[in-house]
Amino acid sequence: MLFFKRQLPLAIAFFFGLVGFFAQYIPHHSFEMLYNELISWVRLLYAFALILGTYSLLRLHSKRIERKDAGYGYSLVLWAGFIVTFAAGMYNEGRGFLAGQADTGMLMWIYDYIFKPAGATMFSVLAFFIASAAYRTFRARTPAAAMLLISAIIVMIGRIPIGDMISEHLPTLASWLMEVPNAAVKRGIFLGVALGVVATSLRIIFGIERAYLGGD
Amino acid sequence: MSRKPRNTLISAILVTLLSALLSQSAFSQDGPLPQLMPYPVNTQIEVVTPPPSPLLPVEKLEAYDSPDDSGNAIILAWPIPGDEKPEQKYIIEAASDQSGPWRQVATFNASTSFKADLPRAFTWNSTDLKTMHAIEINMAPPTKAFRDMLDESNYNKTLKLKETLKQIEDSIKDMAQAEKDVFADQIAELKQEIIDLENAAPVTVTLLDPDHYYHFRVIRSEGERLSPPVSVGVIPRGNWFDFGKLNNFVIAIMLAGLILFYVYRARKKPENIFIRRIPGLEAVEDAIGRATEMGKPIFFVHGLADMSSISTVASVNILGKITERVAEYGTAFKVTNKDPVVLAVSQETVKEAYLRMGRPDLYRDDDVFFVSQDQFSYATGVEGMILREQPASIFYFGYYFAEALLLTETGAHMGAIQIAGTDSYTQLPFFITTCDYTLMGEELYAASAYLSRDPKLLASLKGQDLMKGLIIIFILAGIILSTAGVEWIMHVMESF
Repeated sequence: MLFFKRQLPLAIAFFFGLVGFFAQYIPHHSFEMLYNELISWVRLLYAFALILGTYSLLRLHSKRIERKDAGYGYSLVLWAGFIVTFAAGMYNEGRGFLAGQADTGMLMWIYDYIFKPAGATMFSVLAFFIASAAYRTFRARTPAAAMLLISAIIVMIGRIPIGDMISEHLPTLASWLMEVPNAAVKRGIFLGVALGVVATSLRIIFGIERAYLGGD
Repeated sequence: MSRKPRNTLISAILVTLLSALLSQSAFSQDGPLPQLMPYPVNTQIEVVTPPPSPLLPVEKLEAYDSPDDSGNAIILAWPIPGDEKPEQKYIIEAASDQSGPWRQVATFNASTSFKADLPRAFTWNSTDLKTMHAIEINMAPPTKAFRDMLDESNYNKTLKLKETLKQIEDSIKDMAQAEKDVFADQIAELKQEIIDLENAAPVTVTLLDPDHYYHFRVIRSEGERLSPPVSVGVIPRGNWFDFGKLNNFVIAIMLAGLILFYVYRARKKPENIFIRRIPGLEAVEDAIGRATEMGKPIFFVHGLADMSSISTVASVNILGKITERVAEYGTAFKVTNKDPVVLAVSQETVKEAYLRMGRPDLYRDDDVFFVSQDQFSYATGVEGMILREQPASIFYFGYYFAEALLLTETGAHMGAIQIAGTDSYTQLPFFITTCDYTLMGEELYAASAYLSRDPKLLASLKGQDLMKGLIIIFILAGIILSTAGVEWIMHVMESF
């Protein structure tokens, strides 16, 4: 059993990791075909995993309803939403679930008039969250916070028309802050991230990092 | 009877007088008789313009197999003709056979497309970079994905329309004219659509397979004036190594070598490798302890990326280590997932961690659960749980987008200790603003080694740091040498 739990996954990770690595350097069409074939396997795996995800979600909320946990009414809403959406998708405007999904009808109505506005509402709430987070952060309690506050004010005012009216140097200063110190820090982070990504990938390919298998 | 001779007489007198009058007006002038004028008809004088003189053909046309590719591209190059003007154009046509049919595969203005635009093929220090035109003709790679795409290409649409048109024409050919007229509009529309598609498509799909000989010809054009075509043949071939990425490959091999060397050394003779203190990871213990004391749950919130993202793999590694600590205290622990594959891996990781710590009884499948695949549905779901269950500690690890602030601000309002780790630099400011501790960029990838203190993992960090040092030295040397005017140094790290 240890073979299936440890050695086989490690061997698979090693083989497919190397294929992924060499795919970056071998442009030949034969290798490209192999790589694209593997990518299509990933899509297949993903389709099956989605069933697993749906099962996990529905089971969790069933138990909440069963136990009448706090806020179990939301679980009822989730179940009702799932049943209605699933039924609309399966009915597919009378064409059945084997046909391609219809561009109009109940499922699209749910998507256009419930799902999309709900998502947009959440996104718009972000503006208030930014304001509240900014208020907390910009209380200049430390030198670093004070610097952040001053930089933020320069960048914000320097990038709107009134900034130019206050002083012609403000937009220049705002651009300098973004293009020099900000870009330098960003590149530093990129460099670290890139090396971290490559090193982590190599640790996985060579079986040094095994935590993703559930243990060392 | 008596009136008839008198009428005849009057007529004779009138005719005589009229004749005398006409004779006088016609012959009263001296000299030769006037020439007869042409009859004034409405005719146009046809001006026959000579045909436009053809442009001179291109000379010394060369064709190359495109280097470092899968075998679906070729390069054509020729010197800029002496009489070239910016308003002129080049038309490139291709065929599988010298006798055609030729199809247009590219066209470009004479003021564009030089060897200098193809540094991968002609390097950066060639002398004729601006005196030679060059164009890379990409042909369809023979992959399934591309063939699927071709089904949607204009060329294939044209073929399908032609087939439909033929079917309609075949089906109505025996019908009466009145019946045929019913289909007239449809046929006309189809024909127009075919013409539009054929005009719109710079079609390359006839040239599919590598290792086959293809012909290309170049024609110069200026308005109506065309040059005689000049053709050349070439075989596109696939390459087994992309030399354009040689620099990248060397760095990757060096990094792999360094990591493996230090891991090998650590395996032979484990040493106490120093790793700088990372406050965010030091605080993990405190966060778990606090939740235990308060009797409240701990949340682990995955990012939005799927399992193919290395930041997600790093998060799963951290999840295992955190679960081990949680198992020691027996605190309630919940893991939210946006991706079903990450869910499956996380369930296994948490289960194994509990098992390793001798507490398999603590594991429940429902504690590691799927929320939603949609970004804001995920954020809403997790926010709702944070508000209802009021966790004492929340961990955010992975790659995040706009939902980051929605999640962490809610957690901050609930007074939870929040520790985040991400390589998403656009979200870092939000995490720093709202969380108690934030692991930035590479710290996320070092977290697993930091928490486990495994000598092999720490040794790999040492190799990674050494590589970073080498890169910094190279950057500094590059700055100095390029400032001093050493040009090649600027091209060493170019990627093509």
